[in-house]
Amino acid sequence: MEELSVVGKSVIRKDALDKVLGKTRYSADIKMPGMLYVKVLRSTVPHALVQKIDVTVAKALAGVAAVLTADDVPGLNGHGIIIKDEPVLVKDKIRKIGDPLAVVAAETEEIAIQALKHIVVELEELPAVFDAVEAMQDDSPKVHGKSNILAVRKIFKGEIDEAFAAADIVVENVYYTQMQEHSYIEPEAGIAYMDGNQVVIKASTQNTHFDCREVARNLGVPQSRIRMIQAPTGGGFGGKLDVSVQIYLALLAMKTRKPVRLVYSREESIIASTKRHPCRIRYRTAADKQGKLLAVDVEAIADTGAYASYGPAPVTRLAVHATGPYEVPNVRIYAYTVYTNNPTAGAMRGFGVPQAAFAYEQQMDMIAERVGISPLAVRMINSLKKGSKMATGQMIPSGPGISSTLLPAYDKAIQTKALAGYEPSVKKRGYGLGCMFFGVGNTGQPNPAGAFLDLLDDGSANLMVGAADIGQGSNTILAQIVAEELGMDFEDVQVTSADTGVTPDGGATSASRQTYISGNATLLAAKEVKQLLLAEAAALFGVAQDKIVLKNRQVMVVGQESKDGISIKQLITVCRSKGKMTLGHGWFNPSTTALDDETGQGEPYEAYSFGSQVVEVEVDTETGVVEVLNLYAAHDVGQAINPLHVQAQIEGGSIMGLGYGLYEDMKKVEGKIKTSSFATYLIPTSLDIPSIQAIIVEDKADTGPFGAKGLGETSLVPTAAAIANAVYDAVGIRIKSLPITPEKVLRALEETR
Amino acid sequence: MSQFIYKKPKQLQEAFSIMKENPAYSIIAGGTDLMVKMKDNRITAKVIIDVSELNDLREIKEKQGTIYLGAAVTHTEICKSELLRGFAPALVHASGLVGSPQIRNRGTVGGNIGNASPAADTIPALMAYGAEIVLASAEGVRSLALEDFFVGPGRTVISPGEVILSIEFNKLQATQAVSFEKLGKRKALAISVVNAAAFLEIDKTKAVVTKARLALGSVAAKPIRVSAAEEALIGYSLSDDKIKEVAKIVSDSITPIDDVRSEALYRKRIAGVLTQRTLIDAWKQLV
Repeated sequence: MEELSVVGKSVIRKDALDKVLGKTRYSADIKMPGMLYVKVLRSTVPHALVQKIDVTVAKALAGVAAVLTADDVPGLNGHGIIIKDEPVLVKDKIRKIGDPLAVVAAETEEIAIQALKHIVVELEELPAVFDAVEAMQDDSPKVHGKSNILAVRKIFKGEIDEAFAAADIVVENVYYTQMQEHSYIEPEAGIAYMDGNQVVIKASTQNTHFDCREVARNLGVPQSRIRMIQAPTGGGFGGKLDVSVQIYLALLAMKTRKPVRLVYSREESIIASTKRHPCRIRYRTAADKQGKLLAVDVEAIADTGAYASYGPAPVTRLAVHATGPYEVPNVRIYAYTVYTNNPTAGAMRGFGVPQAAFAYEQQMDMIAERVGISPLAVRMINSLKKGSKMATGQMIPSGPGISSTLLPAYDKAIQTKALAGYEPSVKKRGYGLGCMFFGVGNTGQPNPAGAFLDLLDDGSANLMVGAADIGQGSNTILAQIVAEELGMDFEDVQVTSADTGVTPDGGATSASRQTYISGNATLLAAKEVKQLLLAEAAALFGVAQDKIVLKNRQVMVVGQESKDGISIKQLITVCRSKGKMTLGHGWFNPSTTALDDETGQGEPYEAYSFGSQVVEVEVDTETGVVEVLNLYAAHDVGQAINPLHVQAQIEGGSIMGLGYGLYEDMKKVEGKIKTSSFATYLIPTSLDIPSIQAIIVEDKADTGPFGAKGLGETSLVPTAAAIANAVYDAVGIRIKSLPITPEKVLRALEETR
Repeated sequence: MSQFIYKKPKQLQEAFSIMKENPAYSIIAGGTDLMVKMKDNRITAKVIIDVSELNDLREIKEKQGTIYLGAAVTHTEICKSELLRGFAPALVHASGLVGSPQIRNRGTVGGNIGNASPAADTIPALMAYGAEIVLASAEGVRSLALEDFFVGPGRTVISPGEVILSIEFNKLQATQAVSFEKLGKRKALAISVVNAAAFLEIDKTKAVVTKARLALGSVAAKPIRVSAAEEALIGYSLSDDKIKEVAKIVSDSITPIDDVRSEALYRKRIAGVLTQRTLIDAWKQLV
């Protein structure tokens, strides 16, 4: 294979220098002369009918420019990624604490806060429901409509009852996972202003084109009248897929004709934003005497809170991945997305799969123990691989499954173990495995992305993509793809991203999809330009097109590389002299089929990423404190476009998985969050992070750009499960609810003593 | 945060007159607790008096066997002090576990005490050293045992017009040792679930305890001493059984609460474990 020049190299990311120098202007840093400050009045009760919202006193305050309620929303007054069930401003019914009731724009932040205090809300509180299982009962209070069951995803394959009846081994457990906060470093923020008759919004977001549609729908204006621009964004992890400040800002910019700015505090961000779904997962596994899986039977109940947000999508992904990266001939899965009066759960890195992994990976270890084989062996004999069928009936398109990641991670752990000295004490050590697979892109849904490429006559290029770079590095990755395909230098490619006035729709920065989908769109745009260049060069040199090579900014004829060719810049000049423009465009939509409503059968993704982690823990048997000492994380990324980015994603995801496993828990009482700051909601600090060995595995996907697959979410998926297994290995207790706190561990240890 | 006037007196006397003229004042040193409360409007002082650079509050010194620790000495300074590393290592350990490096650079020992959090890390350590707190006002100074300073969460016996001047305790003798342990939910920025400190004095010839102090935080409305457990140690060597007995007395005599950080039952268990660990560590330093 031809050697790559830019792809596969750890070029310095486009945004690095400005960020380390503190020059990057995030949304909260953008200020404009004469701008107004916006504040949102939010509900402090979880469920109520609104009788009256009186804003007359607030409006009359000196310095208040506007106070808006539901009556001031000219359009739909509804938003939501899948269904539009969430009001911009509540008109008649409050469904959670934090529901927005009114917005104020004032000359100072202090006046805006004062104005909120002068808004009088009359309401009638309603009985509320805070438990998803209770919410499924007929007599529970209803959050929307007549049932709290928003969606049920069913997947059926084979003959489940017969398989269980014939099984040598059956393992059944119930697992509970908690609500997790994204904890991006930058809370939601934005600014909006009028530019002629167009509303321009700059905000922290993962999907400008979706935002634009939501804003237009609620303002009742055409999408072309809204220009949504992503400000440099300090992380998202799924939490900035829903609109936050955007619609309020647009409404108030239109109303006041002045620039308006809204910045959430950390507490407001935590109260208002979505979370990872807490789940109850009942999991039953059947296996034969050799440890070969025969069947799984899963019921997952996910608390989606007050609004749908992405709700049914992560729960569907949970269902599709509920077997884990294993071949299971007989499958029955019911996965429920249930409304409650809790904070809304939506998209979060891993999108339902970390919950599933916590269950299926502990099941695998229990099967292994019953059979009398090792955790490694049970995984190897059951692994999905090219040609094997997953729960939805889809054949795995390529690759060896988990073995290419599990074996190197395991070997690394064993090597280190042999070297480590360890004195037995009240602290016991153990190892745990966690494996995963993850479909790239949205589940069985069209999710295209586009790209425009303009080669300028000096040999540099402008790439315009809708893909939002929220810190994961897509601007760098996509520039590498263009540079590789056109034989340019990385520095030659300038990227403009996520601006609805300039770029085509890139879809969401979610589902580990931008490298794969926007990467493919970008590659197609580059190929279109390349075709123009090759045709021109072939005519110029009098050779066939396939004899032309673009490399190192030069145009060369195969076999005559030593001879002086011409530069790409000169070739563009030739094109221009003939009146030909070197423009390219591309769009890509992965080939998938929708899941059947009744059976869940279908081909939900075009490519799958596999990964395996081994963790070593130390459990203090007197205090129950679990410390992760070492984490070996091997992930198959197809082709690492930028290996340093890959390493950082593996480390970052594993750390988030560590937080999910040991520390993080969004505690709430009757819908009220009790951990609304980072003093009480604990994420790992730098001192809590173990030695992480990132192992990059490259099983190329034929369908990905240069063979690349998605990676953004995968490294979070197996970590908590691996920790749970390691705790069992160390001290022989099974913790079936997350997070694995010292309280739970000590209680379990005392029960076994 | 509401608006306030910021004053930074150069002399202690000047601070006293500012307090007298502005009864609605708050004292600030590092600000690591005060600023958080002001941001939430839990404290709405009209005047903020910065004592962080008053010379009288900045010293760490030893005089005739007594260690004087100025109230505005930061945790980082405690950790770096050769004097304290030599003669009060358990305090150094406790200060080194407060917050994070940034907080330790700003936060002061007087602030940690004045904030009167039941979970403060330096307080049990200082109580184990038998520390006295010295309060100064325009009228003069008074001192009292540190454990008598606290009334409840955030509440102390300090009077209007008084500032915490210093903390004083005796240098440890060769027959004395102190140990401090903390259990937090992570390795930095973790408010203690439980913390504990033990002081032991032994008769070296007989290898028995002659004096003991056991202080715990985050198990009551204020940092506490457990006198029943202390008394149970007197006259005994530190056998495994004795350690277990004392730990059980501690566990049984406290009534901690469930809160967002942990559970009452877990705190009772951990209070026992940390008591054992600090006793063993202090004992090992001596025998």
